Amino acid sequence: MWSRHNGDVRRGFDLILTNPPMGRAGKGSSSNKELLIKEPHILAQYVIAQNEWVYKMSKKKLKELAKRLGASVNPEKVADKLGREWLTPEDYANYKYKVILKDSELGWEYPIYYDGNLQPILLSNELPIQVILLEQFLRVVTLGGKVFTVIDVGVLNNPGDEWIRRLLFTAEHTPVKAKLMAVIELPHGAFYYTEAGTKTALLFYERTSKVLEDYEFFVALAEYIGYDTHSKKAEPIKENDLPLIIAEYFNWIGRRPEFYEKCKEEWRKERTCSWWIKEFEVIE
Amino acid sequence: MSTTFKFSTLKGLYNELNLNNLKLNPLTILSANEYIKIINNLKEQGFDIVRLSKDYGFEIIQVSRLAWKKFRRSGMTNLNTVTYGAGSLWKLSVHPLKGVLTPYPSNKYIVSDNMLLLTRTGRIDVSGLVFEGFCDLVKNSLNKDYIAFTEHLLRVTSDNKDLQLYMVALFNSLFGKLISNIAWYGALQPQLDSDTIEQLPIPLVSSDIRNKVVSLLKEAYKRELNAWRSYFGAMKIVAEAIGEVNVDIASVSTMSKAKYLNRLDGSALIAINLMETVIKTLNVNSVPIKEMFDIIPGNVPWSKEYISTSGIPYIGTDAIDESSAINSDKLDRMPSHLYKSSFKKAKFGDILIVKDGIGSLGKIGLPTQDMLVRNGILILSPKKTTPVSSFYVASILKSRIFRKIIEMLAYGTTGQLHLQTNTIKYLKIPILPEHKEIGILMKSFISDMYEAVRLKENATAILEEEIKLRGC
Repeated sequence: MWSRHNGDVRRGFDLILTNPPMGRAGKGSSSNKELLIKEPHILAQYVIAQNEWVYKMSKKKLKELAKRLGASVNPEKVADKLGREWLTPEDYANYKYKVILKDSELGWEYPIYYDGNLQPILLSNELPIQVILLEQFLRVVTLGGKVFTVIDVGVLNNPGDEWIRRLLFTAEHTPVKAKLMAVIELPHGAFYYTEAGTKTALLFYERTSKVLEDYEFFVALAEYIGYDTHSKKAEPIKENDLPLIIAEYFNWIGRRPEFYEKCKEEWRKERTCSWWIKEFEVIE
Repeated sequence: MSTTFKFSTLKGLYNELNLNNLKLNPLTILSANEYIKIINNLKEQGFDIVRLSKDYGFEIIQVSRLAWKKFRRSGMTNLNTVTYGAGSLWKLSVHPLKGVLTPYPSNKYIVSDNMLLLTRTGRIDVSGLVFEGFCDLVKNSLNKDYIAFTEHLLRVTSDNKDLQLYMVALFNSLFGKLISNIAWYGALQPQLDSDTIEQLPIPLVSSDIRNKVVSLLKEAYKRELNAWRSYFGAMKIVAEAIGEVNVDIASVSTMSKAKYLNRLDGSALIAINLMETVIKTLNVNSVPIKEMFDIIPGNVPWSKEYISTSGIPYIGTDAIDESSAINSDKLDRMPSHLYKSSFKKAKFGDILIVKDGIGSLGKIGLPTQDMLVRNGILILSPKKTTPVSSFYVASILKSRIFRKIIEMLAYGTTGQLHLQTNTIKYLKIPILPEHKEIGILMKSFISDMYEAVRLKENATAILEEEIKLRGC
């Protein structure tokens, strides 16, 4: 649709800057079911619903898989046999049809697996929108394109979500791969004024063709963000760590180091950086 | 308990207790009834009766209310006073760590050693003694000029130090509970009426029992003073060695660290960088926790039926004091027949780490005996090859910077924080040259504190037994 307005978009966006619906749907009647994607035909289009991390498998499932692969019942041994830490419908060999979804301009190919009744084969039957979107963003940016998104911190630190982080940033067999650039954690209540009580972060990553074994990325912890995070009114306050964090990021990537020194000096005294806010907020 | 009263009997009862206030609430009426029976029995057996009034050498002081928050914000920047409030009392004592720094309020809020303190609002049945040496200990350890107490405490002064010791034991006994039941008023927030406290007859048990109680308490306070000296000594060495470390708001991490931690959140990655900076600055060897300890999650669930007055000690988060001592007042007991062999136990020499909750997460506990451990607490059990004392490791984990690191390693999004068992193993402990001294000091803090608590409990028990025997 975008490409009707601008043909260049066919090759993907250079940058996605977004604040998608965040939060997770828990169990129980009061949970936010609208934050979950359950539709199998949608889920089937995403690697994240078609991969299972061997370290997260139930004992029973691991035992069955190990038996089939002729490996001992140990995630590491199973991963060695598979050649990756991930199990896909391909490894089950129980699919009847495989459709390849290909976008040569964006440069990826996605397999979708179906059973004999043309029902998609999935390894996750439901996933939060915010998790699906992390992958979706990668599919619509160019190679080297950047994604800057708000995310529920739980996706970044919950033990149960480790497989999501691993699949996005370390798996080598997926059609779209990502390199992490920066994580900026926001204080509790950053979106309190919109009734969202979850702790959030800004995640900055780029689409890459190869997963690097190791690399540096920027991390920051903002305690103040220029408005009162304890009140739904979100009244402006002077204290703001974001200008310094931006200046530190610029300094790290070697751009405008003079900003950093100047900003740090004012931040130490005032816990803000007024001139930098003025400079930064000019949108040309 | 219930009974029936004639109105005139009630008035007569209050007259006998010198109460001017005709209180009609059942708790006061029933407690007063019980109290007067005990007093009369003791009188018949020749026991002396005193009052906490000037006639008997006592004085109760109630200072006027001070708006502390406003006072602190009044622009006086010299925080040269450690001020203790109602929540600072514990186990017949004052908890040195539970004070807040304030400017100097005025002379009337300043207290001295040997003052008996009764909680005036809130937990009104708790009372403590400013034990001999307390004020100097706090002033010297925290480098402050004054010790003050808020108006939420009633102060009882007397020149007779032994009588003050006796009174603190009495007020912490079941008899003291009756006194607070009689003297309390207020609907929302219970308050203690100082006039009632001053007028109530208070029994003095036989001199040999009193001497026993006093001598036990003297020894207890001596131990407690030593314990706190050791504590401040250990923590001072740690603080001076580590120095002031600023927590950066931004830092550069690596994917290998993220993989190692299995985390991508800024807090955890900055915490690991911070720990590495501390260790690098100290320029000493460090040992990962996982090489020194087996990390075992406590697994005993909370259940009402597990709470009893006797049985196997059973610890939850509340019983772990900020100092790392175990608060025996809050240590539960599980009836022996409910014990299961799968329940995890901690022993002397282990370290407990609270792994849940804002404020409590990262608290370090040092058990003094075998105790069952509730879920929400991790047990660090030293391996045989551990190169340093677990008391030393606890001192490091308790330091301001390591507590901060532990808090930053927690996860959770909606205000409730948790520490994953595996996360703890990533912590590295710097081995300071003074590690032996620190370990010895922390160990003697725990041992002395345990002994002090035991002696205080003994003193209270002896007194209670005597009153029950003679008075009931």
